[in-house]
Parts: sequence; C-alpha cells; structure tokens
Amino acid sequence: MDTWAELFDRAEAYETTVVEIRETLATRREGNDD
Amino acid sequence: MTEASPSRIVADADVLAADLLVGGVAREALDHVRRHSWLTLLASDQLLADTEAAVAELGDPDLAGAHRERLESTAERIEHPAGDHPALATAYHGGAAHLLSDDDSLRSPAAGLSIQPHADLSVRPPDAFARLFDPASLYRVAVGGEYPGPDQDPRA
Repeated sequence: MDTWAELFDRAEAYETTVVEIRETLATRREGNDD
Repeated sequence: MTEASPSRIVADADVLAADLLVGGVAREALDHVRRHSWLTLLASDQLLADTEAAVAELGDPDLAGAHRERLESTAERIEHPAGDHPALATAYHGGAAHLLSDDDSLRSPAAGLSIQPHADLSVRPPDAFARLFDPASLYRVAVGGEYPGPDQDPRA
C-alpha cells in the first residue's frame, strides 16, 4: 500500500483545482439523483 | 446517532480529493488529523466512492484506487442510508464533532437535507479548520491531560 508521501508524489502529475473537484462531484451526485 | 466526540472528524469528498490532487489548505487540515493517533477520521462507502470517482476523473483510476485503499486503512467505516449526503450522514451516524467541507450549503440553516446535523457538529471549510486547530485544548477535552505533541508521521 502506498504511503501518503508516495500518493502525493503520484498526484503531482495532475493539475486540478478545488473548483474542478467540486464540479466533478456535483455532476456525479446529479447523476446519482436521476 | 452516536454522541458527538471532539476527536471524531469527517472530511467531505471535495476535501479528501483536494488533499491528494491540490494540496494547500485541504492537506494542511488533514495533516493535523494524520499527525495525531487520537483523532479518528470517519468515512462511509458512499463518501469513499465519491472521492474515488473524482480522483479517477481528474487524475487516473489507479491513483484513485490507491488513494481509496489508503483511506480505508486509516478511516473508521460508518454506515448510513443510501441517498443521504455522504459527509453529513457520516458525521451524524459516526458521532463526529468536525466536518470539513467546501460545500457552503452544509453550513446553511436552509440546507434542505433529509437529516440535520446534531448541535455539536462544527462544519468548516478546511482553511478554517487548519487555522483554528488547537491540538492542546482538543487533547485535554478528548483524551485528558497534557498534550504530548504529534505522535504520527503525516506522510507515512
């Protein structure tokens, strides 16, 4: 299992924002409500 | 509902995903939790599934799976009815005193949720939690005695 340090290192390959995360979650939850 | 405990904490899926993919205040907030073995992070299957889906979409599925595995190894699993807001329901059923979320609607009295948080639940954005976290006073209430300092590596 990865350590938190290893996970954060792997995640550095991606650039995203809190806004994008929230939009992604909102879309998912809207889909679940259908 | 379990009685709220000041050592029990829920992070909404946006905060869990931001901890991994963005860093910043979400990571500062969750580092406080990771540094202290007497703080308990709570999560439900629904909360973990939301987090995994967001990380898979904005990162990649392998990373999302590894992140979920790490969360499952550290978080206490809470069950709640399907359809309830995962973070709020986890806090409600898990007796959490702290809910970290960037969702403003959870801090609104007119949230329109099917369940309402208990009076002892503090819903804060991660930057407020990171800024206001006072481990010494929390330790006195949650454990008792003099705060011994951090006892875990937050990157382990």
